[in-house]
Amino acid sequence: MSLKDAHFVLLAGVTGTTIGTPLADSMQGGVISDTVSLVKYHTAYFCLLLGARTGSTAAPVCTIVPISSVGGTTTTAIPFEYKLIATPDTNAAWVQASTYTVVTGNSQAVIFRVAAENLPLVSGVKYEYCYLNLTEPANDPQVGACLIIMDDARYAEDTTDIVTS
Amino acid sequence: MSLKDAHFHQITTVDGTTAGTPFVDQYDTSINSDVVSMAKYNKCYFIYYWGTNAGTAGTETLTVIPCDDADASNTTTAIPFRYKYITQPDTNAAWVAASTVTTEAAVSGMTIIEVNADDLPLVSGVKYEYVKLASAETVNGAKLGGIIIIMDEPRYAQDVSETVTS
Repeated sequence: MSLKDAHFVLLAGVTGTTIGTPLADSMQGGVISDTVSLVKYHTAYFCLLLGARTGSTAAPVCTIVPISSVGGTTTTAIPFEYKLIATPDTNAAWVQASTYTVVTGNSQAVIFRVAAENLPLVSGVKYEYCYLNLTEPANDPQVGACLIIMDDARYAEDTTDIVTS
Repeated sequence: MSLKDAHFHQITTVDGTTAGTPFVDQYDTSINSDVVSMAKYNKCYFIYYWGTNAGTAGTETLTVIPCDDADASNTTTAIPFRYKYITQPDTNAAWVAASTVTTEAAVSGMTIIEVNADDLPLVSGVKYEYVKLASAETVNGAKLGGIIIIMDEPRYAQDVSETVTS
């Protein structure tokens, strides 16, 4: 399936809490993306979109955290693939990782690819939800946003169901 | 093919000229996205997103303009496309066919524009293989927003895709 069958998520960002719609200090103190369900999708893409940056000391660290439900219990971070986009459109190859440290610099995009097969079974329960977690070692404000694209749908729908509840 | 074979694009915003990375009052008056080539892709998606919207009333009218090269040396009449509106966080509307669309008057929103290579025109025997998204502000909203472009359905998959901006 192509992007025409994908499902798009853009949470309203809240400074210091969640990253979604663009904010001036998008990763202040560490933030998380919205939590999404992979029940109906094989792949989730977290698109971290970064603009102007103040300072160059604090490199945010990114992980993908599985969770039992929206607001539920989390477990150990899982592996993912990421792709770096240098402005305007130099696309690097996909790289496998379990953590990614953002390069300190203006204007870049990082695409995180999460496969449903990597979601864990915890005490017999499949953790079908996940989110992108960003920690900020020191405060270097950067304009940023994160949109999520749910891809490889198990079946196509003209109007897709929400994945955030 | 899925999104893993897509090509991603985010240009550094140049205020008043080119929209890309998130920027304050991104869509003031009028602005264009970068120009991208569809030579190797069947679909181009312009993802037009924003957070703050002073007074919630700000809206823009979007059109898709074919160009003959990456510098947009020559452009021609806007072409049809499909769009999808996303109400935050993730209520996805169905695709709608249109030739122009006005964005929603809302804080935090996203409009996805899908361009099909089949709709690119032949002008005096020359295929206009490049496109850009044009945004004209209808109601001033000083939105903090950005545009990313995703080139999808490549004619063939590559691990490292080539740039589409030259």
